[in-house]
Amino acid sequence: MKKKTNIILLLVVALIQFGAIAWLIMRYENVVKNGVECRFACQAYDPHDPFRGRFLRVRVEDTCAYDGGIAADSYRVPVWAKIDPQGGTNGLSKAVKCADKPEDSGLWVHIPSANLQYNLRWNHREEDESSDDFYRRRKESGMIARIQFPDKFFLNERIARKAEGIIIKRMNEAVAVYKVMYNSAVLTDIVIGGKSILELARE
Amino acid sequence: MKHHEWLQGELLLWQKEGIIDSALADKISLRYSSPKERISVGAIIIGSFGALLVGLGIIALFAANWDCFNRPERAAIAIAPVAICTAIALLGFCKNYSSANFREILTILWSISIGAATCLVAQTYQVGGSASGLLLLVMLLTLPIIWLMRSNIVGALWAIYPVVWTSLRCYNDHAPREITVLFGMALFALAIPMYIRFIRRNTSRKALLTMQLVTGLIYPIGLSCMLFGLFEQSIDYPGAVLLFSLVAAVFAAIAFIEKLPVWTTCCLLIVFAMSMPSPFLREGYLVYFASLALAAVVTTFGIIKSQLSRINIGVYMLLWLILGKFFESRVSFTAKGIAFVASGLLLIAINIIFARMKKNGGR
Repeated sequence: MKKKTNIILLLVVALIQFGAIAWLIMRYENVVKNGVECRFACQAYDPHDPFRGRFLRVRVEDTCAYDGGIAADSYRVPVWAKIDPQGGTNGLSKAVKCADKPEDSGLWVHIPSANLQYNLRWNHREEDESSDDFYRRRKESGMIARIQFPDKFFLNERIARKAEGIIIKRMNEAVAVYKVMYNSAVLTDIVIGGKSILELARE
Repeated sequence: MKHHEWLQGELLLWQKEGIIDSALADKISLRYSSPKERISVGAIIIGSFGALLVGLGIIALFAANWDCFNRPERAAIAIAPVAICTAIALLGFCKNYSSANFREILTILWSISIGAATCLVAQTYQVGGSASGLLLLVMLLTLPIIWLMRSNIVGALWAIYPVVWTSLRCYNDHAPREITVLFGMALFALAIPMYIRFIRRNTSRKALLTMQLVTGLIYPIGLSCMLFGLFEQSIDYPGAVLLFSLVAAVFAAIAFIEKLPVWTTCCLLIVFAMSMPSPFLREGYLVYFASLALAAVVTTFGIIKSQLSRINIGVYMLLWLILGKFFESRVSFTAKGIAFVASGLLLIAINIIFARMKKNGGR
């Protein structure tokens, strides 16, 4: 009886584990295949660690107006960002606004860590302006959010360093390509001059 | 097997009635134990290291980022070690493999495979996200394995996961402290039933002591670290020592009730470690004098009960605290050198005297 119970429990545990991993795979496969493509200008460099191997650390930042409940300079707070896939210059995408939760239909992405600050900085205070007046003016100026997108692009250790060199030389042309679905953005490629960084690094 | 269980029960009864002591009970138990019951600690340790190396090798191979495979192929490679471990476990259950070696090694390999699989999927699909999220998933997926395989070592070490997760959430992700620490403590509590199950089973004294040492260090330190995260903003050195000491006191009380002598020693060592900086810190005066008092009590207790381990701990504490202050002072190096030599000779002398007393049967 105990042997039978153990086998049944083992099958349940296996089902849970394979189910969890399979769910991850299916979800992200769906994002990569069917997600909305968004492109942002980026910079990248090539760190590595013993567990994740070599990867390009991609720096993709954007700023947009913040329209939420936080009313003070804040760092590393979670926000939602609405993305316009064609809203930027040169066919790039743009974050159009940020909020504490999705407010309307559109392409919303959850950003786990954003920095919020008022449009007016402390160095904008006039000489004879009182603190209260400046603070009031600051509040009225509204807030902006500086958001960062997922930043790791894993690639083969043999080409990682060369890829970093290519991006450094052609930094102005580097574009990070994301697929967005289920309110999350997945980095799928880095493109330079219309070509994937993986192709360029192998040439 | 029935005879063996009867014998184990009788041995426990004889110990309670004071007919035999624990050392003799172990000898008798080992003499008449079935070969399956005999646990070779050395074999488990070596096997565990082997399993760890195999697992790390697998991770390193994954880290090479084999982009010669496409995404579905890499996903299949990620799942393969998990599938192999599941198959081995199924075979083990069917063939009634119940040795501790088999269970511990398989649990280590299986746990590493789960971690590697989730990491490789994240890597394959270039998934962003936080280390804490990944750790939480791995933690929750490995817990049923530990229960199913009745692994004791991995079960005890699993308690480190919630502590690391709480730290990552607080310091990396800047999550709200109160909720994070409470959730971390709830996860931490999931580790304890595994240890309770272990101590309720009849097992060798060596295994009991080893597990007591592992859990006696991990549980109080882990819990203290998590609580420290809650009060970090408002706590100073004496406050931190008080926090760790209170947690250690709680575990020492549990150790007294449940008769876990190694836990008491571990709790003492934790308090001692926390008080070690006190001779050198201006704000450590209260801690310093409290530690002196504790060291004196522990030494006295050890002398009364003729417990050499307690005497050593107490004397080490006293010497560290006194010599620490002495060393910080402006006394000449010659005087400091003489003091150190004298302290060392004193420790050696105490050990020789009590070892001789024990040998001559003077308890």
